[in-house]
Formats: sequence, C-alpha cells, structure tokens
Amino acid sequence: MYFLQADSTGISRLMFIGTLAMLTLAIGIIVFVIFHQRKVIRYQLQMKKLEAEKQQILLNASIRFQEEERQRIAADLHDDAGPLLATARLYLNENLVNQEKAQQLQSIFSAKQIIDDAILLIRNISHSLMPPTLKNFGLESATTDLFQKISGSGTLNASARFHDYRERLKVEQELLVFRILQELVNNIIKHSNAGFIHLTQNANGNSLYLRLHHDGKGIVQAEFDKLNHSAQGLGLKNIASRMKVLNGRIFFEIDPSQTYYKVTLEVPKESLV
Amino acid sequence: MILRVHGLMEYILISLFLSRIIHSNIAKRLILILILPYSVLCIYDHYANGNASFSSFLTIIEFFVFIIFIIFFLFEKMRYSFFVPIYQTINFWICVGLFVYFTGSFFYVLLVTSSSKDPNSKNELIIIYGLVTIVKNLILSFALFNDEKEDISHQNELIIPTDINLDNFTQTNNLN
Repeated sequence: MYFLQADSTGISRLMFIGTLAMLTLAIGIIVFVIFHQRKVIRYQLQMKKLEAEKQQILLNASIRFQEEERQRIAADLHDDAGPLLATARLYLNENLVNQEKAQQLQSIFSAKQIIDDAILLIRNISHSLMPPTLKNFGLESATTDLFQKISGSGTLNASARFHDYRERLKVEQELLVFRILQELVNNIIKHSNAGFIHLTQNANGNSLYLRLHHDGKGIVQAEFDKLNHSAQGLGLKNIASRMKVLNGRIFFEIDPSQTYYKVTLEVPKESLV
Repeated sequence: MILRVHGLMEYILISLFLSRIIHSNIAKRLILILILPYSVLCIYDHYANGNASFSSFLTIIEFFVFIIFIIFFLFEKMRYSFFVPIYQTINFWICVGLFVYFTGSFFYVLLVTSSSKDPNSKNELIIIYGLVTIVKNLILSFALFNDEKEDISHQNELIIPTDINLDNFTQTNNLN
C-alpha cells in the first residue's frame, strides 16, 4: 500500500496514469468485442447466403421434377392412350354399318376391349398422380399397402407399423409424406441392396415422426447435405424441397450398432408452408 | 448511514440488472448470491467505522465485482449473439456506460481517502471523476436512442422426444 502514502504530485500522477490505463483497457475490450462480433455476423450472413443458394437449387430441382412429371404424363397419354383410342376409332369407322353383322360384332367387341385398356391406362396414370388408397383411407393404409406390395414382390422384406396415427394429417401433407416415403424406399431398393426395410411411425405433441430402417448401404446426414448441394441427386433434392413445404425436418444416420441405417422424418401437424 | 444505504441500493439494482441480461445461469446465481455478503460487509462497515462519510473499501469491491461481470457479459454476447450487432442493443450501451464509469472511477475511489488532506490533488481527482461521470451519462443517454432488435437463434438439429418409440421393431419374414 506504498502508493497510497505518496505525496500529492505522486497521487495525481498515479491517479492519472491508473485511470488512463483502466479506460484504455475498457475501451480496448469494448472495441475488441464489437469487431469480433461483426466478424462473426459477417460469417453468419455468408452462411445465410449459401443457405439461400441451396434453397434456390432445391426450388430449381422441384420445378425440374414437376416438368419431368408432366412430360412423363404427356408421353404416357400420347404414346399409350392416343394410339389405343385411335385404334378403337378405326374399328368404329363409318364403314362399320356396311359390314356384315358378325364382323360388326367383332369390331365392336375389339373396340370395347381397346377402350377398356385405355380406361385402365388412364386409371393407372391417375393413380400414379394420387394413389386412391391414400385419398380414401389415408397415409397409414397407403403406406402399409406400398410396403406389402414391395414385400409381395419377393425381393426384400418390407413392413410398416403405425403406433399413433389417430389424428390424420391434411390430405396435401399426407401426399407429400407419402411421396417422400416412396422416394426413400425407391432409393433404398435401387441403391442400397437392403434385405429389409421397416417403417415406424409415432407422434408426440404437435409433431409426427416416421423412421425408416434398412440394412443396406445408406447415407448419413453429411452425405445427404453434400448431395443436396451438388448437381446430382434430384430425388434427394425433391425430398428436401417437399420437407421444406411440410416445414418438417429429415435426418439420415447410421445406428450406433452399425448394423442398419435410419432415416427420420419430423412432420409438424397442420403447418404447411 | 445514508451513503451506505445508497451504496447498497446501487449494488442491488446493478446486480439485478446484470442478472437479467447475463444468460449463464451460474453467473446469474453468483451475482444474486453476492448481494448477501456485500450487505453483510455494509453492515459490518457501518458498525466498524461508525458514521465515516465514505467507504473506499466497499466501493472498490463493488466496482471490481461489476467490472468482472460486465466483461463476462461482453464476452458472452460476443460468443452467442450472431444475428444482431451488439452495438444495436440498449443493454450493451448501458453496460458500456457502467464499464467506463467503474474503470474510470476505480483509481479515484482507491485514492480519494489518501488525497483528502491535499486540496490540489483532491481537485484534480474531482475533475477526472467529473469527466468520467459525464462520459458515463452521455453513453447512458445514447443507450436510450437505440432501437432494440431481437436476437434470433436457429436450431437445426433434429431432436426427437425421448418418450416416443421409433426403434422398436422385429424383423419378421414377410416375403412371399
């Protein structure tokens, strides 16, 4: 405490230097905090920009997918339904009245068969746009039906279990979730060489959870994010854009036991974007 | 007596303010807990020194504690506030005002008792203290003109409630 006993000049000098040092220190800390935070904010803005670019890629992918879907429907109608109806028309031409009765009946029967085929074809196209099971009985039935069909094909073991689906999602939400599940299952069948696929559903509060397990070669979240940013993986981009519309989240991971992969969907009830 | 009550009130109010703006629960609790020993020290000082006009010791402790917590607040803001610039918040400018005041007056409080016998150095101390107080008041006034913007933090991780079961399944042979 020697400095406290200094003379008046000493006290003044000490006070001046001390105060100056303390203020310099304080201002230094404040300036450092402000500049460091500005740097962090700039970085965050850059990340946001990248995120916006990613969203743009997803949007483009979604538009591209819609266009491809339209082209597919157009091709189905043009290549299959068109010739069928044209053939039916040929059977029912003006000359039919001049033909013999037996030939007339044969032509009408053939035309009827072709029209039946055309009806079936159009029904298939329509079902591919909106599965009737989904529309009439909901996500649970449509998903179970899908998994039964996959299992029925004999290539892999597929099963689905809904634990808590008393409260149905909106029809649009159900369709989006169903499409995501279809895409995921297709990817698993095509790329993973899995022996089984299992879907589990549960609900908690305002969210619905769906988890797909499979024992094939899957991907983890980092790979999903990477594929989402790349030019490849249109199917995954569609999944991401549909999840965005659902305002939900998707998570790819491998089980800690390393024996199977998991894909988890979190879908909020009634919050379509 | 009045000075000590004033000092104690000042300590409690600034402690409450800091405990409200600091996010760390441990720091919050520590700030509030420290009110108790400070109050005890005030009472002890009152009985030990009688009606002495000013307690340099108590004020130094007060300033020291607040300087530490303000630095903590600034570093906390620097680490966790990513969306709104820190200088656009009212709390930041209040803290800067207090920080400048506490650091600028620290040596004044430390030396005021020693210099009380010498009028020249006392005058110089008062001038410096006065300047620091004016700067503090200007900064506090400036704080009032700030439009507070909300800080939004984004949570991207998928956290699944632990009470729902998504992993329990048995591998049955459904193949036809």
